[in-house]
Amino acid sequence: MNSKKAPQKLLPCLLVLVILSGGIASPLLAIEPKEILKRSLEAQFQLDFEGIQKTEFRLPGRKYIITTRIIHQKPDFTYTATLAPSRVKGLVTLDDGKFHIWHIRGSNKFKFSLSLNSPEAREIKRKSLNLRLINYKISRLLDDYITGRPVYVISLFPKHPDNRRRKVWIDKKTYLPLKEEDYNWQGELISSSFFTEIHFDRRFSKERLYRDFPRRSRKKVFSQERFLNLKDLRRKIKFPVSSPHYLPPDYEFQEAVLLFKGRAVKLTYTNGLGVICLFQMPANIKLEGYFKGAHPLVWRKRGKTFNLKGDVPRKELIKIKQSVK
Amino acid sequence: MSCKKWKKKLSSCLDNEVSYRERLKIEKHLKSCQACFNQFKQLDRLHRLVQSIPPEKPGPGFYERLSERLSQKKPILKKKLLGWRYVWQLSFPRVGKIAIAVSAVLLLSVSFYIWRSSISYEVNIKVFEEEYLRSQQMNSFAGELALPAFLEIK
Repeated sequence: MNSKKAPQKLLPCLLVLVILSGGIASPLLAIEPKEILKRSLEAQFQLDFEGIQKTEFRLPGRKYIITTRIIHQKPDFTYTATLAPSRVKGLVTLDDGKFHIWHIRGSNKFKFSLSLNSPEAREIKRKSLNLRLINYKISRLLDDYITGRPVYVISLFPKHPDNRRRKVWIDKKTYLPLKEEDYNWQGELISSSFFTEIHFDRRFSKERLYRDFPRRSRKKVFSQERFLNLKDLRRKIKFPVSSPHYLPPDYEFQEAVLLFKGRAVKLTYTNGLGVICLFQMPANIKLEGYFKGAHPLVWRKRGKTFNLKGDVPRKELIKIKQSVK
Repeated sequence: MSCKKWKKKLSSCLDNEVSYRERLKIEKHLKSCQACFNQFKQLDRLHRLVQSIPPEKPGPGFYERLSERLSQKKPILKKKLLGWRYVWQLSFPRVGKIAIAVSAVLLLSVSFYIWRSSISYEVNIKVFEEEYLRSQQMNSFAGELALPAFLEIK
């Protein structure tokens, strides 16, 4: 009688043991949210994919929704074509790791900017991520699904309340961010972006995609230059560069970019997510489209014109302005 | 057609430069218009006179003389230059010459500098706005790809 009852008693005990061991082991096996973010940074450079992305930019009283077809070929080739709104339907961009070119199909209009896939850009993104890991409380929320794919949901909450925040949905299998939501320091949604469709391991002929761009645009000499420290910049630039002595909490120097063949400079500071830009140029260069009083953060000092922009509270921007020497 | 236009065609008619049809038309007009007919007669006389003059050939040694005169032009220029050099050598001492040369170079560089600084360059404040947005989107994989379209709409 006893021998028959013994396995019956043992079974619930075993079940409890399994549940308990699972409960203890799962947090140990679970991947850290910081590690997920680190992996997501390099994910796009290791993948071939094609997708449709919807992006929403919110400005006070206005909202812009843009639908883009994205083709990425590893390691550093990205092609995008705007599908909506109809006003910008012919807009295509191409980034080959050297330049980022924009072109409107059927026109001679094209613009250049610094590549987003170049080794320098990747270095800047890596530094930004390190800052994010320091300046933000990173936590994992409940898992979700985007376009039928399981995703990690990561929240980045600033340690300092005046900084912007983010929520990001990262694909569990490839670590590619499939959705992002950015909020300003007041907690208002300022931009969001998500894939409505995504297909991995799709290869495309780069030459075919290049055909969308006029041959002339490929030969153009590019005039912007990027510097990762102020020393190198000062060696290159003809006028003395000023920098702010005060920065809001958690902000650091990110990069300097030479604009208009060295006639103007952009200094960028970041806390990992938020950005502050200080533009400066000699005062003999005329600033078009500027009305006195309309732009309080445009000023002249010691033969130079300055313009300050940033997504931090206004009192902070004024403090920065006063500290520029 | 007015007489003015017919008169323009008379010379071409004499040189056989008009079509058969045109020639018939001109002849028809000449029959009806005395003024044009008189001008045609005058032109015809002049034409015959020019044709009657035998063509003149250049005299012996014409080309030789011409080439000799052309070659004589060069020494004149050379002489002029030598003259300037002679004046330059006589008029100024060595130090004076160096001073003139240095001041000429200085004058040229100063005028080049003034010319360079007088060229005003314009920068639109919108470019700064675009550059700021570009930096903002550098920290976002999602936003950076849609930015060109956003800037184009804005």
